[in-house]
Amino acid sequence: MGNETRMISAGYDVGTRFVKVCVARGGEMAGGASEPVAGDLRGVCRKAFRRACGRAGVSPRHVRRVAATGFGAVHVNGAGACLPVSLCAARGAHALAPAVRTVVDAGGLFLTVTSLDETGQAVDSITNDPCAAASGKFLEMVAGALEVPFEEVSARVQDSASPYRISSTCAVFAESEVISRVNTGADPADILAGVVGSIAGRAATLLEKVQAGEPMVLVGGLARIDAFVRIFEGLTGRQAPPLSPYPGLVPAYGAALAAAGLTGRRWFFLRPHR
Amino acid sequence: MPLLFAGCDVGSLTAEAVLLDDGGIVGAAIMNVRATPTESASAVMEQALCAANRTAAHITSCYSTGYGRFSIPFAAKNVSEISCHGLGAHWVNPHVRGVIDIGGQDCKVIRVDPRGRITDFVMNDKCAAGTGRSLEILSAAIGVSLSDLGPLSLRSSKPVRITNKCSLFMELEVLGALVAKKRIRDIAAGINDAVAGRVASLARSVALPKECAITGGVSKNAGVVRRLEERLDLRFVPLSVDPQLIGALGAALFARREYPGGET
Repeated sequence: MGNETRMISAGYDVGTRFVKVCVARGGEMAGGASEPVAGDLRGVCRKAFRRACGRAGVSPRHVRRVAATGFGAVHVNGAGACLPVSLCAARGAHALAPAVRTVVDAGGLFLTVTSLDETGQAVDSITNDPCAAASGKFLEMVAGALEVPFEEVSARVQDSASPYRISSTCAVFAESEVISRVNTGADPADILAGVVGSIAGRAATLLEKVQAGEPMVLVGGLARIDAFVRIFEGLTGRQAPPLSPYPGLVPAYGAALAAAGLTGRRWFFLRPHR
Repeated sequence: MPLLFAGCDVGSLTAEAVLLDDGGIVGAAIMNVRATPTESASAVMEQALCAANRTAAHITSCYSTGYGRFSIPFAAKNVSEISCHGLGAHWVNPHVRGVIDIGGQDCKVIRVDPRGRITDFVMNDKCAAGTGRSLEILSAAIGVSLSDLGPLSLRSSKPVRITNKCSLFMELEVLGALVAKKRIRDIAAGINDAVAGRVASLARSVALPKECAITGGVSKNAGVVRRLEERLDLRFVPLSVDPQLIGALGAALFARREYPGGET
């Protein structure tokens, strides 16, 4: 069964800010890439796919199965299936850490909390209302208005002694409020801390609405912001480590695993290595 | 010296000034805001005075309104935008009993009595959807200028349906429509309809009379105006004065009304 056990599949997670692609070989994460969403979304998907294949050391032609997830999944050419993010986050998390029972996916505009059973099945999930207040995108816009590079946000938040709560709940209006606050002397670190706190608070509220067992992990773009992880853990009183090694790729990895299963009877009895 | 009253409306995106004497409006100006409300007010008032061939010394009394109204040093008093839009629209057309004002960062729905006094109102300044800001974001997403958005949308016969209520989620839907190769004019129509939808939703919380006028910068977008008329089942009462000037006009009217001997 040589080739079959090393089946190469790809999963696309077309998010609200980034397209993530993960290439899996025989159930293992082989390579991944992330590209910012831009007008030519299909072009962005192709680019992310090529880069992920490059990192996996495979040629694009050898990718046998493809599945897509995320807000823009439907735009992926050639996807064998479009799957819910909760299912893919669960699948990916379970493959990396079978003990996990709760996955919090914190991305650009969506926060999704998924609870898993011991077989890695997603049994319950919840996502925020479609409002951009207290979202990753909100944080990005505020950081932009403060001229703080996104990579430095976490460090600046750690510096804050008193988080400042922006009164505009709207992400769009917050930009102008932030600029005028800074002009009247507010510390950017405090503003960023306030925003990160409000996102962590929103995630914590969602968490309360599902049966969220232990252990819990964080995935998605915001999982890479240490300050967010810390504040979220503080608010929930629980550990929520980012799922290594690439928390942003976990749903795409789950999609790649699901893709590998999207086959005819030839693959029916195949099980991943773990 | 003949009495001359001035009104100054400093908003988040534009500033307006109106000069009023016995005969009516003698000068007016509209411009984009400067770095501070004070600068914006001085600049726009100067432009209006120039248009009227008067100087600041001629002004009997000036009132201010708008987002920046507290920062206008030459204003004797400031009045709420709600009151100014109501009085201003009513003065231009005494049939007016309702006003919808769609500005850069807020949206107001106002009821007035036969004398132009406010009897009810509702305002959204918390959510960008249904404001000029939302149109700015969405038109940028399709690479169309704000001034082209209206005319372009009127050429559409198959508007794209945008279902979300948040401007940033609407932006995602617009990007999706672009990927799906929808016609720009159809997306433009969808954008205008989405904004009109948010305004209509707000308007329903006030029993809006049929004799209603529309003011504010967004009233110049014919696509939004038409969709709003369809959704509210009315035709907006025409105003012979630029709808963007109504706030400043209202402020000037208040200045005149409250000046001893000013009211004609």
